[in-house]
Amino acid sequence: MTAVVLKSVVRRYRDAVAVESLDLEIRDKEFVVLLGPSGCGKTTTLNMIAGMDSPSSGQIYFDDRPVENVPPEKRNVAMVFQSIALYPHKTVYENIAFPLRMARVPSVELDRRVRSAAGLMRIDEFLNRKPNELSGGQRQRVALGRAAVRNPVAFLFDEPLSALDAKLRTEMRVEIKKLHERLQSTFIYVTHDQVEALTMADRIAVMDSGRLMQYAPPDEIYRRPANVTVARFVGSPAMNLIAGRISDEAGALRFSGAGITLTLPGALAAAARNARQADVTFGVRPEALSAEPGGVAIEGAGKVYAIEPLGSDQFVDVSFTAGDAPQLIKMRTRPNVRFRVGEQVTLFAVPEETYLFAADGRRIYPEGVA
Amino acid sequence: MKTRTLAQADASFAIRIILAVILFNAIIIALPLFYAAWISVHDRDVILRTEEFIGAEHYRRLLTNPEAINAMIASLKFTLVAVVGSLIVGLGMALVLNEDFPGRSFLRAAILIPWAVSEVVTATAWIFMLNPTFGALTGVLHPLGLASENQVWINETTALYWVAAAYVWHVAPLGAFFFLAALQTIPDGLYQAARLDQANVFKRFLHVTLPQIRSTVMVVLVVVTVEAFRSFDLLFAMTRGGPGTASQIFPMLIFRYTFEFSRYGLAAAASFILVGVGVIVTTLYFVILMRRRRTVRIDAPAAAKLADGGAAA
Repeated sequence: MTAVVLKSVVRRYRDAVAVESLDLEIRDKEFVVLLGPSGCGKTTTLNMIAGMDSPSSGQIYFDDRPVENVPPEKRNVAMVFQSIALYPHKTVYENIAFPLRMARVPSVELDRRVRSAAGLMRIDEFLNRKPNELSGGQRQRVALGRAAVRNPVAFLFDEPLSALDAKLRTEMRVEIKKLHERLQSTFIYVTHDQVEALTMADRIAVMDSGRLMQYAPPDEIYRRPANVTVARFVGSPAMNLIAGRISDEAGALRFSGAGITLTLPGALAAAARNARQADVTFGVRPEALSAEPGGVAIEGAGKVYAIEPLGSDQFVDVSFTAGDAPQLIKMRTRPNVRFRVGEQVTLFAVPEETYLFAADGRRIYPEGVA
Repeated sequence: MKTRTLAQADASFAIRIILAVILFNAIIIALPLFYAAWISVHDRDVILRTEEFIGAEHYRRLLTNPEAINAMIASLKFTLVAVVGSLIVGLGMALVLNEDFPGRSFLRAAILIPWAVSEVVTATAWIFMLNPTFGALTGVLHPLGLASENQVWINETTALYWVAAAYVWHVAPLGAFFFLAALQTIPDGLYQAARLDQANVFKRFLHVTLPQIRSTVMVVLVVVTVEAFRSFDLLFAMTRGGPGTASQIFPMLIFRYTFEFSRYGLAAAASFILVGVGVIVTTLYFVILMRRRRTVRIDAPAAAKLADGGAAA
């Protein structure tokens, strides 16, 4: 139950920088997800918070207490690992009890707390078993129970669900979210899975190449990505991003690139004028596209390339010829709209849900600070 | 003709190649073994070339003979010191070599040298080291005032322990080698988890390292015990059982019965007693160490129901 603050934290290895001047403030009781591709520095950051790694420079505070030089066993954080890391020779009961035994909790209270944590994670019937007699999901519950049995200043999660199958992952996501609600503690969660980030976080810190790209609530990350990297990473399927140029044709701003041409609608055009950028990236999410006329017409020789029915909806890949490599644009439609592969199709975008990014990646439209 | 299934063909091939090995073993192990057993129950005079069946008389004599009993006690003492010493030194070496530091790979190879040299060489090196006048031990400890100028290191009371020390020096690297292999299979995550669970170095060793290398400890324990219990070369080269009979362990006694007194029957019987005690000791290890420690006392899942909603306080 503590705020965690990182100030200008740098982690340099012999020939590489893992984390580059990171400032991050995690509020008390907040659920923050560190999201990014592998090698972006998110796990290094988590390890520095846990004390398993030390910053090359910068400070880490738990509330007002600087902790950079405090060893992990003195930081009182609980962690759930990707490898689950249960003690294989100990029973479930002893695994959960271990942190309490280390803290010399009296046996009556220890027993009460172990059973309470086991009840919370619904693993009471397995208390006598060894970890290798449990399924993957049950093991992960035990690991959560071992973390929850203590009274840590913060809970750290290092990709805890990546070893589980898809169905279990979905269940455990809810489970962890519920755990946060109940424990009312600070949760810091590392993942490369943007679905986990969007579904669980109060705020998401998107990282890339050791830098913080954007730190905002999920909705804002999704609706107003700070730059093209965030836009590309968050959302599944990902946002369609088309690199091209803007030209002024008789007062109307036209965007063209990768075999696609379109007239920028009013607000986009104004933003583009303000930004004075010719080389830009145009973005539109699959769900903002449709084959029914209305909105911004995406002109070009679009042909249906592939159809992926999902039951609840379907994805349609439309290819545009652009030199050697075709540009694919993904559209999400209702499942009952019929397409044929090879069919000519014109796409229309909802103007309010289009994006424009500058050559350096930063967002031009929608305007305003993230 | 019925065609044989693949499994049957595999089985018959397996039986054939195993039979060959069994036959080979029978010739080189079983035959001498039975012959020795036969000798042990006969009294043979090598000069008169007579032979007489005497039953368990050799065994009875050995079990009541103070010389044999003392040799057995010396053997057990030697083995105890050798086993405990090699376990502690070997595990210590392995723990150091498991850490990350410059020159680690070189050191990992280098520590095997004491084990690779023969026991006779080991003995010679230690004899030099323990030489009262020009030995290294006197050379180091005399200037510090911890030993006299011509300190006699190997005497009646210490001989057995010096040989045991040399044996530990020789065999500990083998233990370290096994331990190191076991240590490397322990996932880092367990140590990290234990650190975050607020376990200090000692607790981490106790709760993570030891349980994870338990079966390796068992293997090293058995190997070193058996090796030490039947060890002969080092002792023969270092003290020949002396001074007097101070370091006369049981295999040394068997050697003397055979080659000094030509009492083949007695020596054969003594060999069987040695094997018997060895088997008993090894079995005891298995019984004591491999017994599954049950942690039963958690029986009431119903009792845990009291806890819903009440998160870990």
